[in-house]
Amino acid sequence: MLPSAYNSARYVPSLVVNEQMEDGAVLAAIARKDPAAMETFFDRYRVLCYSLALRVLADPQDAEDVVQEAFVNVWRSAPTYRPDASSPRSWLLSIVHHRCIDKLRNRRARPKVVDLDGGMHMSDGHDVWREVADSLTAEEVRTALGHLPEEQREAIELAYFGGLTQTQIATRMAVPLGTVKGRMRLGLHRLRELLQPVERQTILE
Amino acid sequence: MNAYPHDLAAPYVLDALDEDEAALFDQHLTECEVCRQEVVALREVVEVLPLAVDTLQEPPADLRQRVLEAVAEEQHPPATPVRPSAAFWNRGWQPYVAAAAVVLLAVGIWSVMLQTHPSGASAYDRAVVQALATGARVSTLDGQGASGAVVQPRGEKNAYLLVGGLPALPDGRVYQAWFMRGTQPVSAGVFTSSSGQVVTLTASRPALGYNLAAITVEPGPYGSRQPTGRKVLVGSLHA
Repeated sequence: MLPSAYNSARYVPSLVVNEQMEDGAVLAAIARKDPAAMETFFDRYRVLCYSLALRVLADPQDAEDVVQEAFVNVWRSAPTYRPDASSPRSWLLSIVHHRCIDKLRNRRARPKVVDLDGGMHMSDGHDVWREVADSLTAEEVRTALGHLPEEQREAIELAYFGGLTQTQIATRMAVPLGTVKGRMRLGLHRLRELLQPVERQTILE
Repeated sequence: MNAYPHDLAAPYVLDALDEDEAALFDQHLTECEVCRQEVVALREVVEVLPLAVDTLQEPPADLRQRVLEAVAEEQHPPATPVRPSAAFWNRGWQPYVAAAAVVLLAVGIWSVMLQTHPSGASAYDRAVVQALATGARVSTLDGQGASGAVVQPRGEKNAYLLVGGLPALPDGRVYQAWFMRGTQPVSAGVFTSSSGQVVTLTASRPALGYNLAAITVEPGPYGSRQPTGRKVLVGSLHA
């Protein structure tokens, strides 16, 4: 005799999704169209996704719409997720961010033209970085951003959280376009260094 | 190395390019290994940026219900079998199997196209007439409000698909073409269509040796391994 909860059509007895399951396994269950896995994934990341969307869009209704679209997108695209390319969390948040920018610029979702992940392109030191990235806390990322030269941090934040284009940022910062590109590039490379374990120790002290 | 457009990698990963620039850089990425590597490395850093959101906020409670309902709706048409059931393939195919001997003439295609898509008829006609003139094998596909043909040119490897009158699909959906031999469908390519547009595309394989073709609606952007969605066009292929 099954517990009464299993009488609900929502439950598929052969697939047990629980709170301890790793993100990768949850996403694999989503790829098999298991609604219980979707609930688990949503509950894990709803706050982070909604907060990111709200930060970029500054509009609660738009933020809700984007989060909903992003999770539906996860449901559809889970079979194409590549665990070796990015963590489930990163993958989900990049979908949320893309949808935010689409909404902000009032454009339709752009189909992915270049499938970098498909060619198994990884950066040098990808595995090391992956471990770093998976263990990072919000505090560590914020601290590292705070250690960037001000103009680099500003260029990155105006783009990522402000949703501005490089041209708009150049106008805002009153510098040539080339300078903006350089600041973004140097800032991102520096951020990567700052988040490596050795430097992280130093800046957190 | 930092000359345009190589210097677009950082704004690209931060989504700070406008659409034209992004399209240009997408194209550039297909040709430049150095930029591909830079994009991959920079994107890994960008992926941790959301953690830096300073104010964490709980979304409204009803969002959860709406997301789960939206996902449940995705299930409806249809219940995404891993492999198509025999019933899926048999449903609606018989008339075409039975009519496998129907030979298709350009005139026939014309009348269909002119009735249903006056705006798109001429481009479609020209393509079909050209195909027939070169001795290609042309097989029609039928569906409600839409028409299509599979063209297998002589001496060319892959088949072409000509499709007219398909409606635009909602975000996240694509049309997928299938060729079938016996009961085993294989994908022949994925495409999108704006409303009523005539689409010509190269199938990802030759049509030779298959006896049926169909176009279904599938989840984008990559389509499905096996057909899961509703059939919008179907027809027999000439031997």
